[in-house]
Amino acid sequence: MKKYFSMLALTIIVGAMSSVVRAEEKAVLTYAPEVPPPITRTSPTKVIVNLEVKEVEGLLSDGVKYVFWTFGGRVPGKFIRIREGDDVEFHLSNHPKDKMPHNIDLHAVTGPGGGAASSFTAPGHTSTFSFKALNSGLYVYHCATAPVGMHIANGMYGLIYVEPKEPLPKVDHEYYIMQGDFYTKGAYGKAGLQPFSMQKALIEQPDYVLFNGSVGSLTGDKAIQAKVGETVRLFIGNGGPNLSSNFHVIGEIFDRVYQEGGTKVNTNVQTTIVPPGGAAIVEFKVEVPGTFILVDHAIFRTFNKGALGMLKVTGPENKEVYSGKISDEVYLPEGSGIQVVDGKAPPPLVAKGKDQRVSFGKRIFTQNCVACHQVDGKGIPNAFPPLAKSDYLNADKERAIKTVVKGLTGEVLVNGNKFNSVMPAWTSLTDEEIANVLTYVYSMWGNSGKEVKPEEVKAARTSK
Amino acid sequence: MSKIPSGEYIPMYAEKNKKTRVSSFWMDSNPVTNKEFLDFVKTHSQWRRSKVKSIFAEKTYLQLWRSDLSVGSKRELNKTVVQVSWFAAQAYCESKNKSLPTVDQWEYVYAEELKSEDIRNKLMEWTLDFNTAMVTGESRGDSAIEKNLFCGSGSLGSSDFKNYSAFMRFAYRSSLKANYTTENLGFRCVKSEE
Repeated sequence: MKKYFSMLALTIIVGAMSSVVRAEEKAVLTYAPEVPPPITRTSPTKVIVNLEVKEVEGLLSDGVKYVFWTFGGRVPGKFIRIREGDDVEFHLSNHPKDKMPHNIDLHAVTGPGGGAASSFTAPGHTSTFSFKALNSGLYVYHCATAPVGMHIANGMYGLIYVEPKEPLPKVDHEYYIMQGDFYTKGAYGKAGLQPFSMQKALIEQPDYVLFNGSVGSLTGDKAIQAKVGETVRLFIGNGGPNLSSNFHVIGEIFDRVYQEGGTKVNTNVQTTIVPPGGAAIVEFKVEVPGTFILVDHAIFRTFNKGALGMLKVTGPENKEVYSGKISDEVYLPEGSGIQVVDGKAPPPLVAKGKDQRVSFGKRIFTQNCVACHQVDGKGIPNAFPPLAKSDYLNADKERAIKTVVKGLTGEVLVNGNKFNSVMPAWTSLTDEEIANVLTYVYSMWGNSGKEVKPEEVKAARTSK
Repeated sequence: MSKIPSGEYIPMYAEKNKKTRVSSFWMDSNPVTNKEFLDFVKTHSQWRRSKVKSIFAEKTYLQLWRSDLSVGSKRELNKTVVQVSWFAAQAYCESKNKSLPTVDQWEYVYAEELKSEDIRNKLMEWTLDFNTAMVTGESRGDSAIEKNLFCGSGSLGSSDFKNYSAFMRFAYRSSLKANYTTENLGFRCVKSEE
């Protein structure tokens, strides 16, 4: 994060008549999961914040498009970092192509509406207001234009951190993670441009619960990173609009939690609750290498609605801290929830030919299988069997289909290693979807390249 | 123009089921096009892009046009004119012995039709009294300011998508000033019954 230091535009304006120096700087804003660099100043100054509202089409998940309303072009909005006592001059611009007026309520602001009353902005306009950062802490900001719930549900939230006069201790890594729930006409994973569903928002039943605005925003290549022995600080926010987050990192204990983003510190915490419109700062030292899964521990949200991130820790093993054997208590994934669809949703995709089957199957794999079998198909030793070059998979296609359709419990031998675990029956996937995901798996990682047809899946459902 | 028969409707901001009476009137069937507005500025030079007074229209006024008296490609001619201020729109209507529709007239005709539409895909249109029902910007406080006229929580608590869609239109109108010239805003005119 050192690269951001050079971007800090610092202008010094010297009064002509006196030696009084009035400093002024432009705030460095970052997209998640990056966090602007710590503030090195030891006194308050005037800080200029420029934030642009943009309505943009983006991806909720692979193949699932959505029109997000954003602070800065992505969800969550850009991270703002200032210091206690700073005078902030805030410029909120609404892009001329936008369809809606917007404003901003920063929970760090003391004043009517948290700035909302002073920042109501039509498309193609900029509003300016200023405030003094009286209280330190980590705060949510969000849009508060009617209908407020819809503006938030479309992604209009972010974090502003007001560093205390006595800054927090230095750490090796700081990251920005914000949860939000999304409501679409089509159920989880249904492809195409998905409209917002007011009905689902009202009954508070989201199709997606996400970290940083999309499924997979913090997995694979996009996982956050650290090395053994390093310290990590996570700035966690929750935009909601409806669900509280039960933030947990599988395999880590938070050494310190600044509860609700405030000053009070709790130590040795497993799961910290972050309400909509709330935040928390968590800190921990990573002791052993591996992939640590970030979840909302209301766990269906993680394995069925997308709230899954990864922290990849590299470095030498420490057998004393962790022997390397994974217990049976790892969370089991289950079939995606059955959801009633209201209104018009795009029709389900039917693959034309094997190539399409592979590409549609990849999407289903990403949405349902990656949590256990991993992006590279290698699984997790002693817990989840590999699909890559798997003798068990390649030997018997019918058995593979049946495993997905009916599930599998008990001991299996895969590539010479015993696994004794549970694979759930994927009752929520259609014949077409199962055919596609299996064809994808067979096409990858040195597997046999077989194609699986929906008819074969149908046959497997009825056979014994 | 189309004749709109008199009748009643329930405005979005009304107390439950309190109807508002709307007298019959004539309304343009379509929003005003670039071609029609071009003809207007040809004969009313004070409304040309280079001549318009800044208090009547901000600097993005007709900026999508190629020049004062050229819209651009032919294809553009039949599209709805946008980037016009309230002052310019009302001047156009007055030149035809018409007027901008009131919020009640506009909502009476379109609220029902748009109830299931996602208005994000629609152009908005100027109304004569767009700024009478104000969303303050701090919309969560509106209910306390003018309880009868605006009840944010009431609308949000409703599962009726008609109200919901209307709420977005009211919020949009409230963000405007009469000299604003945004890209998503056109207009049409109405005429009272003789």
